[in-house]
Amino acid sequence: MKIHRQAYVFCLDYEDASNWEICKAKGLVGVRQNPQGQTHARAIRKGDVLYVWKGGAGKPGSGLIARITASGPAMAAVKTEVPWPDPALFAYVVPFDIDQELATAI
Amino acid sequence: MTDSFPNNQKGSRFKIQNTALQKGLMPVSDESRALLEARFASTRPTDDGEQVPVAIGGGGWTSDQDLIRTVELAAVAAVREFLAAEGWREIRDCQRDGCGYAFIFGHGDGRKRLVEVKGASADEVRFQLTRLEHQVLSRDPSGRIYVVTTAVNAPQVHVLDWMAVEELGIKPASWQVG
Repeated sequence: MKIHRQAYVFCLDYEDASNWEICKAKGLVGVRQNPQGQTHARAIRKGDVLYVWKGGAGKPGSGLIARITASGPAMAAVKTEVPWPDPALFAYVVPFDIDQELATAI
Repeated sequence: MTDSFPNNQKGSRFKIQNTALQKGLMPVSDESRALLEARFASTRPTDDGEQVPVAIGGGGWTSDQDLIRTVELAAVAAVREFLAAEGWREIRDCQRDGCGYAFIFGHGDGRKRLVEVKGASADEVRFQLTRLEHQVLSRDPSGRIYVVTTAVNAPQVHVLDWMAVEELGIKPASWQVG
């Protein structure tokens, strides 16, 4: 029995950063093909917390940008619509509700 | 193309490794979670959205959000460590549930404890309760309030059952009309 909400850091690759607006509009984030990322995606449960990180090291707009809550388990990307470009790069999508978005990345 | 994270200065502030970011999705440690959580505007919500001030030296209270957040995070860390050292295991983190307490802990001997955490910057045991905290903790004998004084610099944990709370004296801090 899972009794403790897990927290994750979810990272948007820098080149995917513009997908964030699509993520918010659709209530989905996408997990790429990285094996460990996929393993963790399969463990996600409703209520888990994801801290959204925009990649890019020191580039403008990179860093922590939001906190979201998974509204259900991850779904295999092949079985669902992937609403952003290059859908084949993504293995899972995770439905979410947004808790809070920071005014600027930190 | 995969990102590289040269110098990863932003990640290191949250004790997050470059490699964790490169995986796309990784669990974070309790320490990282506390650091991340501190960056969001609201501290853990209370039952009805009240923001409870914390005690500061000289008998006063502060509503400074940054200070409250810092004190609260330090107090929670101290209580978790304190309870673990006494053989208690965290069963549930209820900090965002608005249920009138912050955690449920269980002991190997079968006891269960509802745990509310109160941090103070001051070195004296003073704290404020929400209506729901008062309602729950005054009625449930398994409830305890863990008050952490000088929480940031030299945390001291004080454990209070409701009888001890009443002995300290409970005074209304505000009134609602209408």
